[in-house]
Amino acid sequence: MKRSLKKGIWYASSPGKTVLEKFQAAKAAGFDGIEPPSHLDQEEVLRARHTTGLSIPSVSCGQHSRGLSNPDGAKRDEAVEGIEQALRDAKRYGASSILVVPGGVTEQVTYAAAYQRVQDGLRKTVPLAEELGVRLACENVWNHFLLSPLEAARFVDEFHSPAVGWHFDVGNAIYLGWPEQWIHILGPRIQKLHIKEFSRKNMNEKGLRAGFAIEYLEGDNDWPAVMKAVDDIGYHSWAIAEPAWQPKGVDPTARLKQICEKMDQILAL
Amino acid sequence: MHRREFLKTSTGALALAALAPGAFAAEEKTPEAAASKRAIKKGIMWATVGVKGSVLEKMQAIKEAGFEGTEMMSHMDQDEVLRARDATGLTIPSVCGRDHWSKPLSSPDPKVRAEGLEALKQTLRDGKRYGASSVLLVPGVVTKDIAYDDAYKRSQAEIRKAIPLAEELGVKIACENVWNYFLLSPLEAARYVDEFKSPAVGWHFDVGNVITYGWPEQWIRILGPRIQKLHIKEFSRKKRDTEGLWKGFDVKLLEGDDNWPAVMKAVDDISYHGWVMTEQPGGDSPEGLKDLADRLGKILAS
Repeated sequence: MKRSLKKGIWYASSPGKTVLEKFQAAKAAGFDGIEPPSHLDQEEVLRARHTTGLSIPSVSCGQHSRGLSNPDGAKRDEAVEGIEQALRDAKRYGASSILVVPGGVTEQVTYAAAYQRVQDGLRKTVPLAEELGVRLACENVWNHFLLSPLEAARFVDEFHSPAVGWHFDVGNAIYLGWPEQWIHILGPRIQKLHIKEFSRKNMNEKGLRAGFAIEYLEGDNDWPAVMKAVDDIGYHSWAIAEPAWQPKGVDPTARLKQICEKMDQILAL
Repeated sequence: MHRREFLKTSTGALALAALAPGAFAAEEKTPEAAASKRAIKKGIMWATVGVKGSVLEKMQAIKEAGFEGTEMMSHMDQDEVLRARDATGLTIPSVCGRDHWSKPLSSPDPKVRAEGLEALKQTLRDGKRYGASSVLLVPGVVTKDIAYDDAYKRSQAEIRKAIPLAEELGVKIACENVWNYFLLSPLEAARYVDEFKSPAVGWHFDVGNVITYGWPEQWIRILGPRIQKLHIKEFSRKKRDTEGLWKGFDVKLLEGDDNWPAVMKAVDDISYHGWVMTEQPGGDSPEGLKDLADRLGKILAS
């Protein structure tokens, strides 16, 4: 096979009530792995992993890490603790990285303040990440922050630690530019990929966020160009589906299988 | 003046003001402007003036609407522009380049870059002739085929070639934030400017263009003294979110999501006392121009 990429799914996109049900649904749909959030019952997760044979390549600390830029120091401390817990979860599960949302810029939190605070907070977690051998992978999300791929690369490099990298979300980058450029620029900093679709047409005709309301392979990702960039940088890790849209009236189990098939098509381009 | 000598003597604003030829003259303040709370003058971007007529007739309409200046386009008949300027008493604080979108300094084609550079130099010469203190430059364009990192390197290399002329003429090159998928972060924009290590490169800040990415008052504080000129433009997040991205611009001044008091406070905080110029639809009739000038006046008073 040309590419040794494995297919994962974001935990919340998998139907089911219990951890085991979600793992089973992901397995049944054809995925090789699943990306759970941090702060779950570790034993329960490990049992579900063992039962299904799924891998856990990444743990998402999205919710807890957002506080890294909070003006309130106590909230920033909570974010640091949340990240440390996510690192321990990841170690337990055999995940090689955790997804970190690097805070965010708001009307009250300036870009310059966010840059400083998020770096300060993340720096506190680097020793544990290095000790556990789990990487901190910052994701590009719609948080008004790290909007340039050059800046994102610089942000990572300023830690001077191999424990800090990037979790690149393909679909999130389209309103800012072209994901294949981000992939080339971030290069080996990329630890994980989120696979998401986006439509510039919807964005331009219906509204900014309507850009996400589109089926895989029907939006404006130039998937052959994205996959070529992935090959160019020698990436051979996980591609994790994080669908931002669901068609109406489709059974969740059937939908998960559809997503897995779309992933197969994308990864073969 | 030699570049090294220039750099040595122009490390601070005082040194700049003390320089004679080749110095970047501080904006002259009229007693009236100095007496007001903010010594900021009102201008309008020439390309947004849609009234019919000659250069003179358009300038007359601009003057009658209540503007004190206009930002000309480059590559016009200099003598005609100067006659109209002198006849109306308008000031020309800035000149906007004509070719930076069609012949971007980020182009992979060296010939296109060379043409873009020549257009920038002509814009600087126009600026000098008109008494403008800066020119508006779209520094580069990122596209599917022009990568962000390539745009960064190429545009800096070309702009560097224009710096000696800018320094010689005493006209600054002011890069504008536009929707060119480039320099999307205010920290990066500041760094981009600083890397030239020349006071001849600054920023032309467009308030409305950044609202979909963030908050203009943050940009203003971060860019600080790099800001040479301000473009006043409105943007509506609501329209963007419900009607389509570009519809965000389809809103009148003071009716969108610019937090003008916060913007003006940031302008005060960085001690900006140059020009504010509207770049906004509606200037296609005398009434429309008057409305723009009135709304601009309200913004300045907020």
